[in-house]
Amino acid sequence: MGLEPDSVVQLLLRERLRIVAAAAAIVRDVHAADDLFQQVVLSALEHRSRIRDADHLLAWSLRTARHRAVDLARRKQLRPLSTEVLDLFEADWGDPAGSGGPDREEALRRCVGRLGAPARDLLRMKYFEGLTAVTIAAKLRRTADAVYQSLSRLHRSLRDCVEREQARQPVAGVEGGRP
Amino acid sequence: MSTPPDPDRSPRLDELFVRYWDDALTDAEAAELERRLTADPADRDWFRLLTLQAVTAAELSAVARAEAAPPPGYWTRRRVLRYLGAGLAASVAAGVVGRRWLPEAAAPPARLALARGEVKVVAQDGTAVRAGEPIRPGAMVSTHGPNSWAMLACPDGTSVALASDSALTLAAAGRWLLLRGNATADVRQPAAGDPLVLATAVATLTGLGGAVATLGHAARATEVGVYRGRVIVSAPSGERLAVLGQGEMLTVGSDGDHHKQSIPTTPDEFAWDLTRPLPAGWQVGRREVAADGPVVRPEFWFDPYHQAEMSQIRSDHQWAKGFFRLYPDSVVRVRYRAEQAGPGQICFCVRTADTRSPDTGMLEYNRGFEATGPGGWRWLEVRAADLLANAHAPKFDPPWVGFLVIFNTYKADLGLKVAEFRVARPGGAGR
Repeated sequence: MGLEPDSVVQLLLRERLRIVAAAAAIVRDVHAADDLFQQVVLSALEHRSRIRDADHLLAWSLRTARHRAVDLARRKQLRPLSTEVLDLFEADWGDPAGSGGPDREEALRRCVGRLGAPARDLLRMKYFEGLTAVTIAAKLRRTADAVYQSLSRLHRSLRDCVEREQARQPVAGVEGGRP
Repeated sequence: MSTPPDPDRSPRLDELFVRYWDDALTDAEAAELERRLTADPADRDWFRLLTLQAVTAAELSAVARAEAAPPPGYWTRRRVLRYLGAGLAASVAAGVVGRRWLPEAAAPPARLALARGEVKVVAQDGTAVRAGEPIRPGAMVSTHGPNSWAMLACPDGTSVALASDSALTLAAAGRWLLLRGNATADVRQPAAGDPLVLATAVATLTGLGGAVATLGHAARATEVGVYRGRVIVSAPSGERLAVLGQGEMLTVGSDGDHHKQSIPTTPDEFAWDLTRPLPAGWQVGRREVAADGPVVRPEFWFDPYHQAEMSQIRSDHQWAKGFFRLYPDSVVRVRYRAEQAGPGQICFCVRTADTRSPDTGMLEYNRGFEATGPGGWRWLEVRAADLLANAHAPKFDPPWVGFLVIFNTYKADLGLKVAEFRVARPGGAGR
């Protein structure tokens, strides 16, 4: 007995960020990862009679997203992570604690939302527009290494912000102040 | 989260991550990243949080852009997804916002008129739609297996034929999204408006009134062919890419690159040119240049038909143009090297000579590969007539037009290298 279509969609929506991120870590393209998520949803709906329960659905979806992402990365001729690392990641993403839960995701959204305009622009160019550091550097009249360093600093500051948010706001959904 | 990130961790992983995302790691950096991710769960945890940051940043950027400039008059994929499942759109955040693809139109409901093989029509609520029943927005029609196909018919005589291993979803009345595979639309001339809109993730076909057109969509590209009338092809952004007349085709890549040409006649003779890089749409397998010449080697990939990882070579997908025409006396010749003998097959996905027909079939060589000595090569030579002893053999007369070539050694890596692949008819230049 498979899952009902509504259940499949709802369960996958709940785990959407985790599945998109798992694929994005391989293809390094958020839009492509989002496309893969949609393909996974459609494929899960098609194959739902074979899916036993919610845990099976998540494992199946992560495995399907991984394979499709690896195929896409191969076609894009990206240097891949090893199968061993991908196996470890698949297990990590499949962990019930997942991406850190809604608290962490919400904290991350708040932190990104609080960034200043230059930082947001840099993240937008890198992860929304998919520009390489070389292209961004040309736009900003900086060196590619400087762009890499700025991005690294931004990621670190976001990590610090998320940790502060989580320490300050243990209850999900409570809006926090500026860190 | 199993392991909390170490707040005192050095910034090194951040630096590796941003270079990894750009595919700009040196060999030494890639090895370092591998080492860290293999050995340290905390590094893996941090790497995953970095990925979440990237996804979140992209989605918030898209939200901001969409809020600044909503796309009136067009369907976003977010709206489309609403039809694929209740609530789905609500969560498909902004990574998809801004990709506009379907102009508004009105059309009569379609019904499943004919079906062969395994054909599924599933309504938005997951219930099966039976032949003859109206197909409502949100429904998905899919065909499974080499000989499957489905014909959807509208009251005005317009029809959409779905070829094997294809899937189409009805986003709204008269608006069809081809998710994979091939479809052919034979559209009646309407009194007014657009009777039908066909789209893929990278191209939208409008102005189809009175036209016969084929649409094929694989992972990396969409191929449009026009056999009667005139069709407008647009990008998901709404930008017009081309107006195609009778006898013309357009290939649109996932990156938006597009190329218009006349629909060529499929030749009887064909050979892979491995002196050049593999075509852009090549699906699986990699080209290597060895001391004694270039070869194609299989790669492991997840085969959806077998639902397993398999070692395969899969060519690009040339539905409209076709690679070659096969007749019973056509001869397929392959020069290969294999480190070990083992089971394997060479498959040719074929269609009829008429691209508008959804009929397809398979010609298969299933006798495996033999081991060759060091530096040796083996020639495999087989007539097309000897490739018909399989469950999916074409049920239509030749010529059989090959549109996809597959080498499959299943779950084993036999060390296969293919140096030549040729198709010829007796007496032709390809022999």
